[in-house]
Amino acid sequence: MIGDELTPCRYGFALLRFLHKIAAMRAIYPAARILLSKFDFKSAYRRVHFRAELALQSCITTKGLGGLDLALVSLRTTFGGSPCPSIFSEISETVTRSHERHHPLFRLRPSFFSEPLQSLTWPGQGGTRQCTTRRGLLLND
Amino acid sequence: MIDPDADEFGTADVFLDDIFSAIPQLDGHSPGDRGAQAALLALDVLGQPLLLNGGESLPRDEVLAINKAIAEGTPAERLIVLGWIFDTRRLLISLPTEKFTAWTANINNLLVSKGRRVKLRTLETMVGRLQHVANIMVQGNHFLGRFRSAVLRADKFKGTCLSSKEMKDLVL
Repeated sequence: MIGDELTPCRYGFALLRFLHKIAAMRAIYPAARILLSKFDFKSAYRRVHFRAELALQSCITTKGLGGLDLALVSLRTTFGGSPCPSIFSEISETVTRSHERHHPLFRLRPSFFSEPLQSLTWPGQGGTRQCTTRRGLLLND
Repeated sequence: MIDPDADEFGTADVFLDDIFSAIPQLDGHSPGDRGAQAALLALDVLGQPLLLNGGESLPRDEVLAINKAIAEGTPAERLIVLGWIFDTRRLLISLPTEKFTAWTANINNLLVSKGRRVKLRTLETMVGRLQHVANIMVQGNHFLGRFRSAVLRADKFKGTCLSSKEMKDLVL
């Protein structure tokens, strides 16, 4: 692995950066409620597939495991793989920056803002939470 | 590294698979109302099927962890983020109660076991937890130096006894 060629990973400062941002926001809006929300990627690393060439380059060979010589090939990024945080950061940073304040996503008019999952976290007028995702999954709460 | 700029659109950050946002709730039609939904939209855009009507050869799950989103996605002034309880109303950050109770009990166990041999694994866990706390209580880093050398000692000799100075650091 050539560490210098990986994207710099900035996760280490995420907590402090977020605290600074909240403190700055409180200074600007002393009376407003500052609301926090949190979302997770499902099966984060398991969503990133290796190219065949990369999978073969990063395979692990064993000698004598169960009496057999084996090569273990991971088709997806693994938990504990040293380049994996950097690889995944390219995806997660893209998503995060794409909804930060300077991005057009934040400037959309409400009528254009028809995210199918939004009713999960913002109950409608009836107080129910139900939506159909783009993959056709009907969700009720 | 730190960009303290903040405006009515709120802000967001990410740690591996956790995306957390802070949005000011202003009067009237606040852009923050839309900001609270923006993470969902960004995740949904990322997970768009390339072929519609089930035409994809490899079916995939939603990118969003839906159960967690239902549990933690509703905007609130008090939320657990990266193992800490954030309270934006009081501008406080604190350890969750259960974590505080368990960690305090572990420290007390170490203090009680004075003079006994401590395993490497136990010390490593303790230093990791204290390091987590020292990220917020920065002064705590000053008292972690002896513990780190105790970990090196334990690694070399398959366990170690804590000195009286290390015990005093632990009391602090």
